[in-house]
This record gives sequence, structure tokens and C-alpha cells, in this order.
Amino acid sequence: MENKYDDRFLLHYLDGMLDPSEKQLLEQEMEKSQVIRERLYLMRFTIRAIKFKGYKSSVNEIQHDFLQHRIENKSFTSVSTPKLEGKERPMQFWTKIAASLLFLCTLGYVLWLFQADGAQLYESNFISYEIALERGAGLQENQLESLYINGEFKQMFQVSAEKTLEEFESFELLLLGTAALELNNPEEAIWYLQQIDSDNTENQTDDYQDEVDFFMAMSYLKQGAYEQALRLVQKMRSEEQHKYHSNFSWAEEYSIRLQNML
Amino acid sequence: MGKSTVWTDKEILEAISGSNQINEAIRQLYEGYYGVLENYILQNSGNEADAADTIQETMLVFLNLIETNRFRGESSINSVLYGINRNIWLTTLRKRKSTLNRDQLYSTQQEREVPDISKTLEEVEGYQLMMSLFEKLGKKCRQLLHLFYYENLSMKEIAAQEGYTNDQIARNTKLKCMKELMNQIEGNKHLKDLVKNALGYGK
Repeated sequence: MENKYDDRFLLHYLDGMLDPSEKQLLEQEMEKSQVIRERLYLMRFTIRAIKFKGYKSSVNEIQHDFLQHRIENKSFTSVSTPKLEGKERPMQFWTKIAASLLFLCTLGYVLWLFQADGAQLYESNFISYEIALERGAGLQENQLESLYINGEFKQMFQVSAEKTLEEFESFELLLLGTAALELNNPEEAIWYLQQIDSDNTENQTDDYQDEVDFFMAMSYLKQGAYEQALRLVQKMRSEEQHKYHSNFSWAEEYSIRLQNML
Repeated sequence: MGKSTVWTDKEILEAISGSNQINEAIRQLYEGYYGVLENYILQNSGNEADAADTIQETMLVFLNLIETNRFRGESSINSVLYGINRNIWLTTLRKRKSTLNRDQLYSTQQEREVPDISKTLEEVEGYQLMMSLFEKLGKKCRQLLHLFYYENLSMKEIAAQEGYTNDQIARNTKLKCMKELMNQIEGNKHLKDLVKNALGYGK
């Protein structure tokens, strides 16, 4: 009896190809025969597995398309989707990055300036005095000038020890003042430079006045005398013809002002 | 079929159970429910990759529920999908974190909400194993079985499409392919036990 219900017959049943009477007979037989029942169930399970394979590939494909479409439409915020990593960045994105970096650099610079003390400002602005070439051609070189050019600053003070301030020419006073600064002695530098400043005021001259303003400002910064330094820096920045007009930026001026207020 | 852009639950179920426009029905499921299902995973310690894996499995389990007539639209597709998705995700978390209390909590919730899910998952495991045997069949066999059982083509259409002399030849080939596949199942003890176990609750 069971031979009649072979695989072909069972498959026809599962495929819906039996006529109603055959179908009824098989169902009755299944009630009695565990062998037929188990074989039929196994066959049905196999068919479902075949269908499942089809579902799986469809679901795979549809999910892939769905997620791809969603990424392209940017309708969600991705956290860790690897596909986004290869995405092209618009120009606006890079502009924003560049602007942010520029802003951070500027902010850092401004903060540095605002917290910079006199010693830092001195280090970043100090330049040695250089004797103009045309001067050397027109005038006979004196001893102080030779020593200054050779960088023998200490000897300059040794050879000048016997002289009083009034005996020096303005140019010599300037060399001695800047030499004192080279030797990290701002007090002595101010002593020499102030003499030129006083002479100019008294005689209504302006011999080396621009140099005096600059090196005195540097000396005051070195000393931490911000009020005096600020006055000179403001003078230099306000006079467009001043030789050292561009040596201090507005930020440095504000930095000195800030230090003066503290 | 004259469906609107968004299908009703009934239309989706008809399309799947009648093997009619299955792909479009699956697309409707993704459009309508992916966001909700993903949100659940994301709010419960998962990331987007977890969500993608879980939702894919959820869809397959849901399709199997319809295929095995365990779901005929008694409740909304939304609540069934949500329940399956939650169940699968809690099972995944349970595997990842083996805290006893959490285990018990998850098991309780699981049984209360989707009673059939563990059986369905067992079936799905059986299908996966069977698929590996299916891959061992020849290309012609695989194509023929796929076209008949998944694409729902008639033997006449398959014969014409695949170059068989007539539909009877195609039918005989199909039987031969099925027998070959079943012989492989019979020869695989692990799979046979798994199928027998699953068949214990099958119709």
C-alpha cells in the first residue's frame, strides 16, 4: 500500500497536483502510516527550505538597496556605517574645516599675546642696532663704534669709564645704550638713552630719537615697566614716519596695555 | 493589483502567501517598519550594524510565519514584526551577556510575547543547514527548484525558459533533484535530527 504513495505521489500532493479523491485517500493513509507522514513532512520541510533560500536572497538584496537609498538621501544620521567613509565631502565641508583651523590659530595667537609678559615681548621684538653704512663712509670711525661692530660690548664700557655722560656724543650714547641692552642691562641702557632724549628736548633736536624711542621701549619691557613702555609703543605706532612704526602690532600694544592693568 | 503606494497589512499578506509580488511586499515591509525596528535596537544597546542583522533575520522569520500559516493577520504586522525583532535582539544580547537575572527576564518576556518564535528559529536553523546541501546540487537542479517553488512558475514556463524538451521532462528532472536533495538530508545525521525535532511541531 505504501509503495503507491512514493516520492512522486507525495510531491504531487505537495504541489497541489492530485485530484480531490486521491488527495483524500492519501490524507487517510497518512493518519495510519507514520512512515508516509514522516516522509511527507520531510519533503514539505525541504520545499520550505528552498523557498526560504529565495526569501533570503530577496531580503538580502532589498535590504541592501533600502539602506543604500537611505544613505544617498541622507534621511538618517549614521554612527558607524562603513559605507559612509568613502563618501565625497562637499567643498563647503572643507571650507568650514579651514575656517575652524584659522579661527583656532588666531585665537591661540591672541591668547598667547594677551598672556605674554614683558620678557616674552622683549624676546619677540628685540633687534640689534645696526650702524648705517653711509654714516661710516662720511665720518671717521671712533673706538666705540669699532668695538660695537665687533660685538665687544664689555670693552665699550671699559674704555668709556673715565668719561661723564655729557662728554659723549649722541651717537656714542646710543651705542652704549644698545650695548647695555645686548648685555641684558636695561637700567644702564635707559641711563644712556635718556640722556639723548633729554638733550633732544633741551636743544629741540631729534638726533637718533626714533632709535631712542625703540630701545628705551625695549628696555622698559625688559624691566616690566609697562606704563613707560606703552607710552613709547603708542608713540611709535601713531607716527607713520617713525622708523619703528611697524615693529609692534595692535595685539602687542593691547598685550602691554593688559599687563599694565594687571 | 491597483495598490496604493503604501500597502495595507492585508495586501502585504496576500502578496506573500499567494507568492504574488513577494519582492514588492518585502519592500513595503522595509519602507514601513525598518525605522521602528532599528530604533528599538539602537535604544537597547545596539548599533546600526546590529540593527541591520537583526532586522534581516526578523524579516525571514516573519516570512516563515506566513509560509507555515502561523500568522494569518490575527494581529497587526507592526506588532508581530516588533515582537520578533525584540525577541531576536534579546536572544542576541543574552548570548553576549550571560547574566542570570537578565537571562530569566528575557526568557519570560520572550515566551509571553511571541510563543512560536523559538520553534520558528529552530526551523530557520534547519533551513540554513539544508541550504548548504542545496548548494551541492547541480546548477540546473537549483535553478529548476527555485523557479518552481519560489518564483512560482509553471512547469511549462520553466521548460520553455530553461530549454527542456517539454514540461514532463522538466517535471521528471524536478523529482530527480528533490530525491537527490532528500537523500543528502537522510545522510546528514545532525540535520536529520534537527528536522525531526522541528517536524515534531510541524503540520
